[in-house]
Amino acid sequence: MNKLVKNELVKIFAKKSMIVMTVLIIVFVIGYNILNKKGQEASASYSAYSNSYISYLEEELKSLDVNNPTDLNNYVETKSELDVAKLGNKYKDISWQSDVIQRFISPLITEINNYEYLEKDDKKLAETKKEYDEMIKALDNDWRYFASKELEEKNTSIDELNKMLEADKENEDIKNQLQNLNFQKEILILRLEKDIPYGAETYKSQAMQNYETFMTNYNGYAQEKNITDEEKLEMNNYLRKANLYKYDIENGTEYQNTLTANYALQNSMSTYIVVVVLIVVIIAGVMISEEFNKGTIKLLLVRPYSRTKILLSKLIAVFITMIITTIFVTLLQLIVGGFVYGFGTYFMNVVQFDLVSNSIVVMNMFAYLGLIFICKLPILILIGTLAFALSALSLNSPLAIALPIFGYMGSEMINLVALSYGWNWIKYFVTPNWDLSQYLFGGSPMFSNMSVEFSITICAIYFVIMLVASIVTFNKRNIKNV
Amino acid sequence: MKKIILRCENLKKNFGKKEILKGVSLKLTEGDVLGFIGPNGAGKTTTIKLILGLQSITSGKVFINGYDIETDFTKAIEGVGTIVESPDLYMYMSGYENLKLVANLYKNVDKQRIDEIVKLVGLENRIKDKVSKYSLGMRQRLGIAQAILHKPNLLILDEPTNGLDPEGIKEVKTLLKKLAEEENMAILISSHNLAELDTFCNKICIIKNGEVVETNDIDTFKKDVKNNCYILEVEDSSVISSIINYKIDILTEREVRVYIEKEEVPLLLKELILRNVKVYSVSEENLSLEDAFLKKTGGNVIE
Repeated sequence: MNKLVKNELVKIFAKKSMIVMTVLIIVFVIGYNILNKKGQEASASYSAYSNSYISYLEEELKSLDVNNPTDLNNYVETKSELDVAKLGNKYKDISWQSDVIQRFISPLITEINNYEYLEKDDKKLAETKKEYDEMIKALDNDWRYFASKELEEKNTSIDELNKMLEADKENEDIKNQLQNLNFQKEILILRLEKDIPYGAETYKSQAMQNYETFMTNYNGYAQEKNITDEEKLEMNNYLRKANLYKYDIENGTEYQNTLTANYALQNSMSTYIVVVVLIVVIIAGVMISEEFNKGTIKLLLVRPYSRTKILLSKLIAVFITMIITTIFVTLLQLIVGGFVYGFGTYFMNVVQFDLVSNSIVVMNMFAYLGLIFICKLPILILIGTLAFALSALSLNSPLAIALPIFGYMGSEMINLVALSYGWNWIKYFVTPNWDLSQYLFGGSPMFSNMSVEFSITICAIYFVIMLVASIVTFNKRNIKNV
Repeated sequence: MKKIILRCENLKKNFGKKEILKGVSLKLTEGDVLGFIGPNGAGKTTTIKLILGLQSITSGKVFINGYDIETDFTKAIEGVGTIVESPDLYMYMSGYENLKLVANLYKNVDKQRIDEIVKLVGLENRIKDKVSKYSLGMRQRLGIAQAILHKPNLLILDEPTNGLDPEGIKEVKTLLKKLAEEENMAILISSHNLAELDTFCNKICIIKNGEVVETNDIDTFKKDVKNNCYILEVEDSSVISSIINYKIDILTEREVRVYIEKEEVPLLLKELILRNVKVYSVSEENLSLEDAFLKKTGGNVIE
């Protein structure tokens, strides 16, 4: 039997198409890494507001009449937007200034315009303008000015809310608001303590920004009483990401930095699984049909081995090729990632957040990659077996290749549709079950009443059905006369 | 008593309601070379595929070296080497790699045996080339090499000379003769051309419309269906008919086919010479399968 498997591997790897596919994989991996890096660098050089946008706003403003009451609101809105755009034009989108303009100066500008044109309150206008000038001065100076100012504001708001809560102890709204404010205060303290500016110019700033966003989103879900399975998945996802960024901020590490070789390697399985699926399907889809169509199957069937053994040896050869392809792609990412992002960015371990124990888990890189591979194995095995079974049943290579690929591409869609319509019965189908990584680190499955054992059983059932169907057909098939 | 290698008993095969084989029985003993003859569509390839277990048997039995092909497939097939239809090899690999694949599947084939067989089929200079670069004759020889690599005692060849030029046919025939003598195999060889086989077959089996019409030693068979056709090469074929009384066909300006008993040939020649007809050559017409059939069965109709 292992001699049969060995022969099948020799046949697979002697094909010229294997060289072509190897070259394509190499090109794909190199291209993916370079494009990813260049793309992120390019977006970092954009200015927050373009000149064309400013001239568009100017045109718009000209067409509006300040003295016409119907235009007035619109005029104030456009003028505010234009003032913000002019101010932000000279800063990059990722700079801390841009962020500060969005957070603090933009509302102030709206206020100024409101006082000037709508309310015509000169006293308040002068007050606000003074505040505005101070901020503009600080804009070329130090972000800490804004942070401490924001902290002051948060403290006042928190004091106010605390007083309100004392009067109305059961008010959930106040409690929620208070929780949000306390969180924002915590972020600010962290920002000042770790000396991390606003914006997204450095990884630390990005991490801060992401931590703030994800945690705010999480709090939003956490404060709701009834949440669906779909929302629960999203909520956990936010919590996980928020904590991972928090870990980086607190420890000064860069595990979640997408521009490191470590991050690219850590995610290589999910990035390149589509490549592995493609290769496996292309190989499995011709495994039986090609030998029948070219007549070489006769060479094989007159050997002293049962047909079942011949079929199984071919399937095992497909699985071995799958493992070889995965290892090849991973090693390729290890090397290419090093050249593109620098080998110095390899920490060779992985940080994950466990939702059950509510703590950070640090893992060895290869242990992590192996774990992810095992979790994704059902996808590869089932798609590969589908292509193989179709090849054996239909003897039609194009069909046996096309159908599994469409199936794989559509699987995400099927899951999303089923989730949003709440089709619970879809859990008896393969697509919600075949990615076991959903159970990792305390993750919750697609439907809350699924478990690892359940998923493995469902995958195994589909696998056995396809395998038995292929064995039965292959054993009964007559070799037709040419 | 010689050992029986292959025994087919009343083999029947239906495709749907159509009967392709209507009860074929064969027997091969050690050292036999059986010519399995029939026109296209008579059921030769189907019979061979039933023997090899490549198609399911509707009814009947096949025993190879005493093992039933249906219930004891691996043991039965172990002693068989074969080419079915055409030698379908892996075109993208070299001849040697193709043989290596086969060698891997048997216990008794080592590198030395491969080299020995490569020399035997005369491919030693081209064995490292891709099969796609081989001529049809070379592929046929490589096909034979992969069939005999594991020293089978039964060799089944389906139209091994199909598509080969006369030179190639001669080569294959010489090779098979050598194999039958040196490796002491029983050989079943199918063909639609009787003339091609009569030089080294010792037995013959004629199949027509899924039925065996004749099984015999080749000499008995030849005596049985006398040809009685002679080709005369003369100066002017048109005058012949007025001179002789035998049934004749005028083939060309100079060639005439005369239907005549062997014993009467000298008489005919004598008469022609007396009448000043210039005779350049007289030859017995080769017995083709078609003619054999016409004589034996009165034509073949593919149902």
